[in-house]
Amino acid sequence: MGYETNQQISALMRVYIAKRADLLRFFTLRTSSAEEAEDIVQDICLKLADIDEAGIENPSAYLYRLGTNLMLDRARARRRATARDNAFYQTHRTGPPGGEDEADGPSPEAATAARQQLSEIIQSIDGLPPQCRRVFIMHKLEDHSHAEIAAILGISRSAVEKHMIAALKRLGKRTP
Amino acid sequence: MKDDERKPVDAQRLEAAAGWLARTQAGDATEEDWASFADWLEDPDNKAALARIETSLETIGDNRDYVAAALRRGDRRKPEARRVSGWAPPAILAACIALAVFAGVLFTTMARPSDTGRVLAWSAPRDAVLLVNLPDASTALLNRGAVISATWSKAERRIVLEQGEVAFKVRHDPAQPFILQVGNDALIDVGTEFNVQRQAAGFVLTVREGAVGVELQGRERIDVNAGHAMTVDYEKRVATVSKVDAEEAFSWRDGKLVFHNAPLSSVVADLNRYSEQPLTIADAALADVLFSGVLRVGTAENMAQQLEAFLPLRLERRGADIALRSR
Repeated sequence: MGYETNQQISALMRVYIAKRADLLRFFTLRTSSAEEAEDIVQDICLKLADIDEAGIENPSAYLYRLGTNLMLDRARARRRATARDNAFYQTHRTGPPGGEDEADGPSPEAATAARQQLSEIIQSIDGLPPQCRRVFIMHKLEDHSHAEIAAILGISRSAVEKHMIAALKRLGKRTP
Repeated sequence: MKDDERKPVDAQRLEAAAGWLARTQAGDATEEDWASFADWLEDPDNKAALARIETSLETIGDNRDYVAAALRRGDRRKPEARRVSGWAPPAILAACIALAVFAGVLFTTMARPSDTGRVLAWSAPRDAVLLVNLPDASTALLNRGAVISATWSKAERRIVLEQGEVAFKVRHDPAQPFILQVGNDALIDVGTEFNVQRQAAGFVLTVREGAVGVELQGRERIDVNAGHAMTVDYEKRVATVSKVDAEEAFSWRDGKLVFHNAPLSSVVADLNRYSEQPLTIADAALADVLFSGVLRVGTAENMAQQLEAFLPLRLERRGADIALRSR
């Protein structure tokens, strides 16, 4: 840690300092929480220490992207923690199976609704035109970047983006 | 989130929301784009449209394996959906040699060595393994459902393991290193035989002969020697190297699956890669039961019966589905 002179602050860190307020505004709007935004922007700063900035072309856009990934990671961790708590509660019941304690976990209705929602989502993806479906699966389930997908499928990056937009739009329409 | 689901969605807002998500994920969004995205988010209706898409994406993310498996089953019904244009270049002489290998048929394909600088790709069907003769006389045996792509240049031979499990036998050539890319990690061969199984959040590398240098996310190289396996877990961000019986990792080639103190949940996940009809575990207590033994690849019914013979569980049939429940 510790830097004596400005020269030792990395270029990326300097961009961060200059853009901090903009990042905070963006993530406050994005998460609807000033507190969460503050944590995300703080996390960006911590991450910067391990980042090799040599390959980064557009540092300020990079900070937004990094923050978005951190935002999604944090949200996922929160959902996991909730799921774990529920699971813990269920496995540490003391009563006989099928007894009154059975009601402690998520209600059967909630579980059915979640399963229903999942199967609707799968149907939505399955119903996409073949190339669009393929692009979506490669990006969201196989972790390929848009650039990689473009290379593998032999299509332009803007075509990849168009397919992604169509697929995402379909997922938003899903619920009546 | 609950409220906005009831309102009819404005198609234009949804389109805009999808556009912002796609554009900002593409990696070429500019700072101005992000600022305009922020402006757009000032409108609560816009934000609600975005939340609708994100809720679905979260559900997909939280159930990745399940969704991926369900969509793969969908592929079977629509074979044309998996035939990626440009993936099976004419340069491949698809000589299908009918060698009867356990449940499936072994296919052999060959790429012309002159085919350089292009992306070649191969995928094994769900019910058979695929032997690929690479342009340099190295071979890749793809387990059922595995997909690899390759780019050959003078400087390097690069293979990407897109999904599934592959056993490689590589001819060493220091002038043209053989690099296997798994996610963001690079496995660099030093003349060897090794098996790599890609998992939902990580991979397992087992080296039978020679050694493989592993560069995790471009970090310092770690050599994994013969008789050792490296397990990489993206979620816990750990990589462990341990001494193993390498033969076991290759046993799938003979239609055998060998497990050593593996939790039933992972055994079932492994078995499900071999059948259209996935087995499920009905009670949570069963998921952590440890299993050691050899199973033969077969139909879901057949593999479930083998488990029933070894473990304190019974099979519960609902239509075509088979669930495992504690006895």
